Amino acid sequence: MKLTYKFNNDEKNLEINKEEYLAPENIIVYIREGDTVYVKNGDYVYINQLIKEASNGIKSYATVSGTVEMNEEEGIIKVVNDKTNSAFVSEEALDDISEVKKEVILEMCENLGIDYENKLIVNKLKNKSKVLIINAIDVEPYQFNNNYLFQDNVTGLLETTNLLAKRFNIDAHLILSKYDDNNVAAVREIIAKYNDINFKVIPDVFPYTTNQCIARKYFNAYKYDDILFLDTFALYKIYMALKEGLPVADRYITICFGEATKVYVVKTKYGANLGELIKNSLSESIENKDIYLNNFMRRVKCDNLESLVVSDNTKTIFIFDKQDIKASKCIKCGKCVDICPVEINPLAKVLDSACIRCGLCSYVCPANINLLSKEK
Amino acid sequence: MEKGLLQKNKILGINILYIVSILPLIIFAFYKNGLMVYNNGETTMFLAFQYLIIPIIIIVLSYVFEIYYYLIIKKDSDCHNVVNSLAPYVNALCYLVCGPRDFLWVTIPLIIMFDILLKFIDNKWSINQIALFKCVLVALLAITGFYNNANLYELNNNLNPSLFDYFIGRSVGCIGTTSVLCCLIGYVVLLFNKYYKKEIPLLAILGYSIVAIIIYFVGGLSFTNLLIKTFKSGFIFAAIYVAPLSMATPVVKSGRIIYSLLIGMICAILVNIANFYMGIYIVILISSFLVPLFNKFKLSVS
Ligand code: SF4
Ligand code: SF4
Repeated sequence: MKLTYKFNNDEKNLEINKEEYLAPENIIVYIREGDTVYVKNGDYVYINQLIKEASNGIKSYATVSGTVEMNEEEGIIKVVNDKTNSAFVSEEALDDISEVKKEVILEMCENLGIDYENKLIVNKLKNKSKVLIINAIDVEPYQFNNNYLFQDNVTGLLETTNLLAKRFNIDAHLILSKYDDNNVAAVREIIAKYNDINFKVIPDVFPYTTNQCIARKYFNAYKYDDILFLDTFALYKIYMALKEGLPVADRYITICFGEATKVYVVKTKYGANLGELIKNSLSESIENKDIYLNNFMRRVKCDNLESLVVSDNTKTIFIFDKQDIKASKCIKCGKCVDICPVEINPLAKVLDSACIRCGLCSYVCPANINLLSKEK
Repeated sequence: MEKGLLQKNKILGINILYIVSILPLIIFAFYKNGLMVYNNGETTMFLAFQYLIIPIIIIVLSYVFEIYYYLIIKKDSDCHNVVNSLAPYVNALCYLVCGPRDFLWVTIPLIIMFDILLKFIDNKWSINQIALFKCVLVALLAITGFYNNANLYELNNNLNPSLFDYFIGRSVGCIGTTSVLCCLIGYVVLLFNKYYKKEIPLLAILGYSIVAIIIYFVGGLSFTNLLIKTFKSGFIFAAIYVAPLSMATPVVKSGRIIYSLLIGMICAILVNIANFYMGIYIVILISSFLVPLFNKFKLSVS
């Protein structure tokens, strides 16, 4: 697929390869302190079966079917894929979600572990947030996978948004990128049916598509207590919970080689090993490369792809040629301050809490100082 | 596909542009203080060339010291700090603000000494090295009675420069600061440098002009007179090269605006009313001390 996007104000065209890696040899769930584990060694698990729950409410489900191999010493639960795709199907699956009640929505969000830790979604919905912003744009440059998820589920996502707007009496805004032609067209075609959704198309310029920047720029909001932000993936999870009564097992991740010279959007399973995924499904080697997860501008390198698995936090893997970045002395050029989209001073010893961690300050710094690190 | 998503060494390029931007000044200094004086038979060819050779010596010496500082003192085996250092540029500028007949065996060690001194107190205070150097130098020369900015030719001949002479720099002044034209050419070069604070000279000149216009209407100074004073004082040089010195200027935009306007306005008063040309450097020096304060001029987020 060809995609146009904007980075640093330059419009670019890019060829994206779409891949699937839905049958990994095994999936891995890590056990941490305080987790409740629901399976034991030798158990057979189905797709969508609950494996463990963390103390903060995050739930891990099997995303492949097979036998459990537990290594408690290393804290690993491995499910060896028998490739039969045997899955639980929920009785709560619905044909039409438009009649779902408020309480059911809240309950499903909690039960399926969509809304864990401080229950941001549930609390905001309960506390009568005034605005719901569905930010369907990939905030980081080169992520390009929200659009695929959106494309696969346009109707469902719009139905869910409309439902949330109606049930919670909330102002719902759906935001799409101006460059996401297919989805914009698809939404325009059916939006008339969903009259509780305000549809907005904005230019995708990094980092002005982060939630905070959208709130500031388009809603004049500098405090976000009243706003519930959902990205495509969170909305999709709610949709799946309401429609199928099930957790989400697959997700898109983007693997970006070089300086976006080669981009793969891969549909894969939660728990699939990243090193294995690259080795088995793509031809590129990752030897002698620098790897960045999710945001290369923040410059947090990840040393061991082999031990990483696809999780909620995996969105993009950037694979660059090895590069030795050395910081020199700050020349006080002020570029970092000028570029900061939330107008804070990145040079401050302790970064202001308004920082959206976009990494632009480090990106422009001629002295290569990592302004997001504590030792600057 | 665009290159440059990852960090590349940018300061090396910045450094080269900085040094290129002072080349017109150095060449003009060589012409005015060397060639012209030699043509009038008032100096030797060797001495005439000093104005070309000394800046090179200073730049080389600065690098030697940088290598010594990072390799020996800081025990940092990597040379990227040396390559990235702006000290050679700053030191060359210090040379340009010396008088044409100042004793070089005093000024060169003094320049290097300031470089060393500021390295050690670095990051603690914000000090404009060029302004500080100039103030100390002038104080030393004034005390010892050697303060005079005329070259040998200007000293022996009573010249009466026109406005145009002042503009192109055929007037009494520091080695490399007299030519407004060369400063403007340098500014154009600096515009290509993304990390040069280009708005500072513009705003300083704006602040200066506002006060100058008031003086024109209230004080009755003629337009030509105002221009001559401005060119003669070296304000344009100070605004383009000294005031925006990156290490001693506010990083916050609003702070930068106030800093530059303030410098421009005070300089206009000192130059046109008090006839105190040295005041420019004192104002810049004091403002550089206040940079942490200027950095607080910032619209707060919440
Ligand atoms: S401080 Fe840096 S990372 Fe934080 S918002 Fe500003 S530019 Fe982005
Ligand atoms: S961009 Fe880098 S060199 Fe410039 S002021 Fe910020 S930290 Fe210093």
